Amino acid sequence: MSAKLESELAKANQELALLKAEYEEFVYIISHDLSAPLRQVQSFSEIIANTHNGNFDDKTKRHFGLIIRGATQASQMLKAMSYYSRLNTRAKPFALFDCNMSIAKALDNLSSLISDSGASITLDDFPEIIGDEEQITILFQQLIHNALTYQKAGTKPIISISFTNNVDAWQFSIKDNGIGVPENLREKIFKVLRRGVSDKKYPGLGMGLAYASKILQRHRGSINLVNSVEGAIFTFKIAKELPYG
Amino acid sequence: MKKEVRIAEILLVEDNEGDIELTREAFSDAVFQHNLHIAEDGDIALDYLYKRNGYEAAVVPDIIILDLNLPSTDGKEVLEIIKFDPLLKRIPVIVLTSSEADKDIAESYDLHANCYIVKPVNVGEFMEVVQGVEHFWNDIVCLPSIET
Repeated sequence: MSAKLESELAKANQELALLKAEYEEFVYIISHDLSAPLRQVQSFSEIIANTHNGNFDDKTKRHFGLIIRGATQASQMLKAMSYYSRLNTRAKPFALFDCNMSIAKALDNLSSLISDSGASITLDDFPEIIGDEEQITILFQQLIHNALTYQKAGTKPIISISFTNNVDAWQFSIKDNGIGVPENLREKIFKVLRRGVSDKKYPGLGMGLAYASKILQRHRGSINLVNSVEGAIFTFKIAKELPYG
Repeated sequence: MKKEVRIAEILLVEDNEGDIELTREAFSDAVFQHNLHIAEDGDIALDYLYKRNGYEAAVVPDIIILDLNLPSTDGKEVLEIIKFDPLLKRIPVIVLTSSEADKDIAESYDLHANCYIVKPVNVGEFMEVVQGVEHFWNDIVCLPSIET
């Protein structure tokens, strides 16, 4: 490499490092410094509501309910944002691990949701892969959680998780019999805090698929939604040759 | 010429219950008579406007107040559908959003939004929204009514 190119590369790397530090500081400020005033709104409105609720008319009661719910929602969003950024900043080094263990752990974390919904889940025998085991578990957990959640009322979830061994990537598929995703929302649903459905029908923050995308970005992979006649099929890839050890 | 006294039918497309309540509060002080209809996401707004999926008896709104950040079909998509529909495109659409991003403002006007208002932080400023609606309403009552 020429000396000029080398110095340009060094400069670009330096700028990148500065930007990264700035981004991390920004997220830290957002998640910590904002949470204090928010907590005040939340706690003091709860105190007022608890002490004086009997004297409030219906409208004031409703307004206090809105203050408390709004503040609660904002603090949940802040927590989610800092969790999202920690997927980058506090990531563990890659290692070789058994994917079956990772999925088993994800299923264990979801055990009450699985038994409550009466779901049946079929699994392939999965390979050993290179990656951040904790994050891959989160990834499976988010996708299985979605497959269990986005169902028509009264439907028992039927989920199958499979994989194919591609040349340079492991390809996984999670198929469900749920409500599916309309064509116009295919990109939106992967974005931070964006939701395909209304809060009233399916409560949630709109972070699950954003976490999944972020984790796969780090694993030089990608995630896609494949249209199916019934339900949704999410397909994701994880690069095979990740630096580890 | 004497203006016919008619009730303004306003469709508010908004998912946040706090913002719905604030808009209701602001409109409770409005001088003109109105009905505020609420659609809580983009899909419901479209069902309402196209009178389908349980909204067959919906009243065609005179004015639409539209949030951009909605679950299901996004506000911009709803705006695009309205403004490219030969029957709906004449209905004034006021975009009411918490976004101050130039991109959102430009895109909304490109999609023929009639007005763009950033959601005010304090209640008093919410009256601006009511004034915006009133402005369009005064225009409408002078125009021949839209038959759909």
